[in-house]
Amino acid sequence: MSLQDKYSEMIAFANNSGCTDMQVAEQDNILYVTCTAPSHDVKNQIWDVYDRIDPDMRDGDLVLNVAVDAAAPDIYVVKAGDSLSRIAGKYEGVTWKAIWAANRDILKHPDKIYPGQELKIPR
Amino acid sequence: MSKKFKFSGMAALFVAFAVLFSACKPNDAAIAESVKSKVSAVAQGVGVDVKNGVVTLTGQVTDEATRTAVETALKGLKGVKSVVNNTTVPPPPPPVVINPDDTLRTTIQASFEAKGIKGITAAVSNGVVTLTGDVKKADLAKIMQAANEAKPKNVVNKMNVLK
Repeated sequence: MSLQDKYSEMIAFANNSGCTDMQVAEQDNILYVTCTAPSHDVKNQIWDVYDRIDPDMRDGDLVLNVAVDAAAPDIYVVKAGDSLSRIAGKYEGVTWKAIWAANRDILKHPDKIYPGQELKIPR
Repeated sequence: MSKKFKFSGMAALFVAFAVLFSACKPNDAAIAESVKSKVSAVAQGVGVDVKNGVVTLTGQVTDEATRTAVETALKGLKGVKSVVNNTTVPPPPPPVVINPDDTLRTTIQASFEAKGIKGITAAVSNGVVTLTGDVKKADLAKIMQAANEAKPKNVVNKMNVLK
């Protein structure tokens, strides 16, 4: 099975999620995938698909570089099992307190977040 | 032999030749039809133009092999004198950029610090980044991103993932 086939689900997901500048190249049995995602959320989802295809990402046959469109508003859609600190961990230099502060309008308590809620991620 | 007979004999011969000639050589529109059906079996979106039996192919095909296959498919096709293959293939993707080891080390180190990643070692050798240390599953992607986005040749994950 070629590497492009192995990761085709991930590449298709990225393309269908509005990623741009998609580049896929295979060199010395390593697949290089580079693209720009419309949001951090999409970027994280692409990584989730990678982790599903190659659990714990141990195969060492993919170099994945997903940038995030600088103009993108940062909205994170809460998934089951999330907490504010877990979400903050996905963003560079963002604390759970900052997310809590930025979303006081929709959140009543920092521990009470629900799947499907759209949180603004402060930059 | 009367002059009249000679003339009609020549006319008959001429008509016979004309019939024979046109039978051997279908007109351009008919050639184009058969060329199109042959080409569409190999590739989509190829433009076909036929002038006096000379077939000109235009448009973009996926790769060099398809480009050759399209032309080969027309070999021996009735009425085709020659094929001008003006189809193009998309330019090759830009070569993969791999940063030198020093750049990889400093980029990954800076990224680890920015993301607050501790206790993970990123060893860099000939462009290959080998990650070791204990990591929580929730932090795995963050660390892998830091390594992958530094533009390495490869990332080897030897981290111990704590469940």
